[in-house]
Amino acid sequence: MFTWCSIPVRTVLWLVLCGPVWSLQTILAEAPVVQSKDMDPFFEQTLVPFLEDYCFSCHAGEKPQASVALDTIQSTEQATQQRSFWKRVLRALRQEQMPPEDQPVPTGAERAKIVRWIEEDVLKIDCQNVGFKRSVTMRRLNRAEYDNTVRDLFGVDFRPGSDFPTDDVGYGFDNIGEVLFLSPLLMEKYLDAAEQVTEKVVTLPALPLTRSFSIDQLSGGNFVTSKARIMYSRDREVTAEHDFKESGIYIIRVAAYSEETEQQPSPLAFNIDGNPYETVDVQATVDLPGVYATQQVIVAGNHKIGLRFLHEHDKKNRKHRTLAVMGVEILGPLKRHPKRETDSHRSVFICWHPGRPTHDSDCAREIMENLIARVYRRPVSGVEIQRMVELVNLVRKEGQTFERGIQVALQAAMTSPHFLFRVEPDRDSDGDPAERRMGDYELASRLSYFLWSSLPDDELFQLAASGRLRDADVLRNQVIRMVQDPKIRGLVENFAGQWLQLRNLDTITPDRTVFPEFDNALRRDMRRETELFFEAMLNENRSLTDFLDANFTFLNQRLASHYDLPFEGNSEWSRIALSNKRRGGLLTQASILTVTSNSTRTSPVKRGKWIMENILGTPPPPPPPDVPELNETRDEVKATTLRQQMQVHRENPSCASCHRQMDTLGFGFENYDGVGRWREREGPFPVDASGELPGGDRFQGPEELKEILKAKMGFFSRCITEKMLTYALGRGLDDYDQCVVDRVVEELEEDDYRFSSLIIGIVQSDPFQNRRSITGEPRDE
Amino acid sequence: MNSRISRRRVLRGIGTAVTLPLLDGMTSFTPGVHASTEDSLPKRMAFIFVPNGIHMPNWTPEKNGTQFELPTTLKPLEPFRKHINVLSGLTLDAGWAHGDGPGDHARAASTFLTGSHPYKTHGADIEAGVSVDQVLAKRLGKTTRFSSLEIGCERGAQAGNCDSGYSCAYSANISWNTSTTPLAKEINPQLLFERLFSAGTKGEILEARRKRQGYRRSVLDLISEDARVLQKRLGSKDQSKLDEYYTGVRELEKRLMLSSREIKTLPGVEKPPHDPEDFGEHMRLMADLMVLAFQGDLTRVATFMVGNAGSNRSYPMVDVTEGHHWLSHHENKPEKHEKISRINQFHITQLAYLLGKLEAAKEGDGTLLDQCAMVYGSGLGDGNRHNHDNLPILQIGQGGGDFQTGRHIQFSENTPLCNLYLSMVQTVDRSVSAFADSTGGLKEMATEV
Repeated sequence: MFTWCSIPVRTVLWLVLCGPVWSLQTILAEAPVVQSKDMDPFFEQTLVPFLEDYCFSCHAGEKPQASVALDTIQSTEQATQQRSFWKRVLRALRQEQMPPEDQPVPTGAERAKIVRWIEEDVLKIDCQNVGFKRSVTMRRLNRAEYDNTVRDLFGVDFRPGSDFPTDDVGYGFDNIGEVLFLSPLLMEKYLDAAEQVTEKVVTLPALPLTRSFSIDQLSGGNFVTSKARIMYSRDREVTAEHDFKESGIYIIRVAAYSEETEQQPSPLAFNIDGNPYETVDVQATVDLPGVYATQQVIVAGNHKIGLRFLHEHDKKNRKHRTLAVMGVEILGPLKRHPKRETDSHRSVFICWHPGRPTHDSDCAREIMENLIARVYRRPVSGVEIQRMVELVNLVRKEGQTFERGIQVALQAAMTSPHFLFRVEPDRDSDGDPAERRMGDYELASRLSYFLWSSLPDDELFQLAASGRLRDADVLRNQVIRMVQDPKIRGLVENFAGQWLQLRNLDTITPDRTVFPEFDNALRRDMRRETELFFEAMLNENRSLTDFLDANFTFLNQRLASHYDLPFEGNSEWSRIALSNKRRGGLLTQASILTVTSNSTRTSPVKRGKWIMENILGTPPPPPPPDVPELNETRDEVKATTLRQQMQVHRENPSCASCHRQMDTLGFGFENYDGVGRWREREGPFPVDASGELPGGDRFQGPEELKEILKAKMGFFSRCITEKMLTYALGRGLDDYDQCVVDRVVEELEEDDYRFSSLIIGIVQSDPFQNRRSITGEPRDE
Repeated sequence: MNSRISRRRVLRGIGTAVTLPLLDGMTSFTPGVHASTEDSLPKRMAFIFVPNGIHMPNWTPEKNGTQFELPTTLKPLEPFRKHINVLSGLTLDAGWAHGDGPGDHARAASTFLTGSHPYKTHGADIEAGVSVDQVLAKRLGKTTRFSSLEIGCERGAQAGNCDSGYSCAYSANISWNTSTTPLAKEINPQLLFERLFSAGTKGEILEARRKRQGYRRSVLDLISEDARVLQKRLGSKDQSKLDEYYTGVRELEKRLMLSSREIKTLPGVEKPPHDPEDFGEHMRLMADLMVLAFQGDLTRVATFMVGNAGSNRSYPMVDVTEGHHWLSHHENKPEKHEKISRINQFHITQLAYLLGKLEAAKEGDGTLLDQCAMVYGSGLGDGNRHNHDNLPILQIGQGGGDFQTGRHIQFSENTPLCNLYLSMVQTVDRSVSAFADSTGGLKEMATEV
């Protein structure tokens, strides 16, 4: 039997579930005072009297307290349409936040009846009939993903994403489809970046200008003006004579235009010593002359290059069509830079070398088929390849090298929506809505961007191509393989960096007069410790309980002395076994202790809030807007202990309900100062890190508090599952996703909270494996 | 790289960076690019946002009309008082909770130029409204290289929650191109410089950049076709993402068409640093670049986000070591009021610097400042009360003669700020009859004949 939150009420009670604040727009503001029309006996006989007795004195009428109007409810069915509203009511009831103490309070049994009604009737979800309700909006590569993808595509160490505007954050992460906007500013940067990346990847061969012919240096044509040699009769030629010192490939470039073209291009035939080679169509006009080129193997010696006008004279119209040659350039011989060619260059040019004969569209096609499939992360169509080949040819026809043509085509690919977005089409080629499982290649990308923040590697592509990736065992083995790959740092930096707010370490500024030893090196070391720890959790497939309390960590000399722990060796990072319970687990790492402190001192409120949000998954609602934050100017802190000041939170009932828990959790870590060092005293006062949580759990110091938290693994495993599922799917979670979360949490419990269970559970979940478009019911599996 | 160069040097560099033909172009536009009917100087519109409200007692002048005294916070604007209007009593009704609970900072930023109540969400179905600068950009930006310019001094949040259930997009952006698409801002002065003046990146010379960009048109043709084909296969939400893509491609195509009007840098010109250490310096550099963009007619519309909503920056340069947001919950303590005022005045001092630059730039028979109509203000009145009425708003510049300035005007309670925006839009396009919750233009703004 499923309930929205399967945790028994009793274990919840110690926790103040001051849940997230949500919008009240679902409330039907205009509805009249309760006059239920249905014959639901519970509604009539239990619910309405309860509300009247305990709630309506504040939450009814035209201006209900906190905009919570309980007198608008009309039926259970109507309530099911207002899930977020009733979730809030549920939390307030469960934690006995409401009714307030100075009002009539219901008995436990009365309260439990209403709680059960909300849980089982209002918020109930039938997991068997839910399927997958929402699909992710097409995700643009974010900055980290762009950089990693470029790195893994070409092996170039280049991070153009650092110049991109920051990606906006939604649901705590910057990989959320709907929030990944593409501004014109960013589009511009994508184009710039594509140009810069392809210049790094493709080495252009040397193309020396051998000779440039002015009009005077050319011969032939019907007549000569100051600007050009003009031809108007058929087979008339303009020629350029040159003594080639070296055999090789040369590019012959002509600046030309045509007149009276009447939409018909003028054919211009290149020949060498009278042997015809290639014909191009001159369409450019005198206003904007064009450049036309051919590429030829020429042996050393004297040669005459001819440019012949092949126009058939149009007798009917009696118009004189002309072809004008303004100048000729000979470039070459083409010379490679074998030393300058990078591995990435060689991996692109699988069939080409500059000695190869001209007009090689086949090679361009081969290169593009190989390359674009990886850039687009899927097989590409013949049409897509053809357009790329045409672009290569277009560039070459203007007298640029083949390499330049490939470069430009690659630029186009890297600015195409198929590269910049992770496209998962919702309609088939006829435009009909498609509800479906993920395609093999789409699944490969979902997997690789989840775990690596980058594109799939060859092995994943091959499994996708053979259709085996969906096989549950194959998928499981792939996850295990991917976690062992160094690219798992993508998950560490981007998921852990945001979940644990490590990224915010960059922007905090501990006051150097209070913490003189804090500097940027220490800032980096703090972050590194947590990253290495997280990575080890993954690599060693450890139990998630180690996040709360572990017997190891990673230190270097600097951080060891910061922690006052012995360290042998140099400044390299070492895995250190911890014997003392003072350190161990995320909550005692300097990174998190610092990021949750103010600039001059610790902030028990911030620490408590951090734990509620990121460990317990029960974020407190924001304080009412006009309530000041705790005064923390240093003079006042000196006069009293922080703990004394914080009594304010307990005295004001509107603060107490949440701060009772938040502050207590935070004070449990008061033995760590604002940059995470251990301390026994705070100024003149001994540190008091004891407390009693709502529900009666008492502790003396962080070691005991960690033990209490470890006993709440149900909360923690649910919290990390929700965060990671959000990150993996690139969207916020719906009520329906709770079914997935429940299942993953169950599997975790059965597997001693092994990390792999979490990842595999997510990867094999419905919303990860399926996509449901637009509206309607999902297809039966 | 360019880390420690003197500010004077940079500015001299930028000053000479703008080549003469373009400056001349201000009055005689390049043929074929500008509509020949345009015989007057272009109007420029800018909107400057400061976070966390203002300490109003030191902001609001006592007297109305022209005979008012500038209060402490506004004192640095004394040299420009004839160019400014202090507007009191204006309201952004959309900023109030309207049943959405906390999140006034996110609402302050997202309503500031949109006047539209933002949909409360961490991400799904983000929606505010089209911002006034974008309404203007559609009209003023057709012929300039950049339809509009979005700049700021603070990077958006990179993790966690921004404000009480609102996606960080609401706190970090004030420009909204469509009701669902905010426009990211450039915060790095060096990158902004490179973008504006086509100076190559990483030491590249202009010629190399030209060469590199030679095939941009072909590239854009190909990817537009990609997008067109793809469009048919996407669901509606995905299509809106592709619309953003299209908008970007169209902007780039326009830029290519106008490439003949590109401003060139001279060899050896130094760029501003990447990440100025001093915040005042950062603001002034961004202001310099905005002025140059106006001067070179690279754009006619700009937004400038001094800080993100709820910014907790400290201001050690004026001896305020506490965070701005933290202070703004002032509990009516005089020492906090005083510190907030100091931050407010620090921002106004940088504004005065900007106005000085605009006034120093001659244009036609007057100055660039005369051609500007700008708005400076916050989306909150008092940072403690988080009120969205009686907002601190300055209107600056006569907008080419459309506005009368040099006054303190007290409007009746709850006059929509959007009425001011409507008045601004109407100086450009008289056919526009409403903007967001406007109830009509502000007659008081118009020049008295």
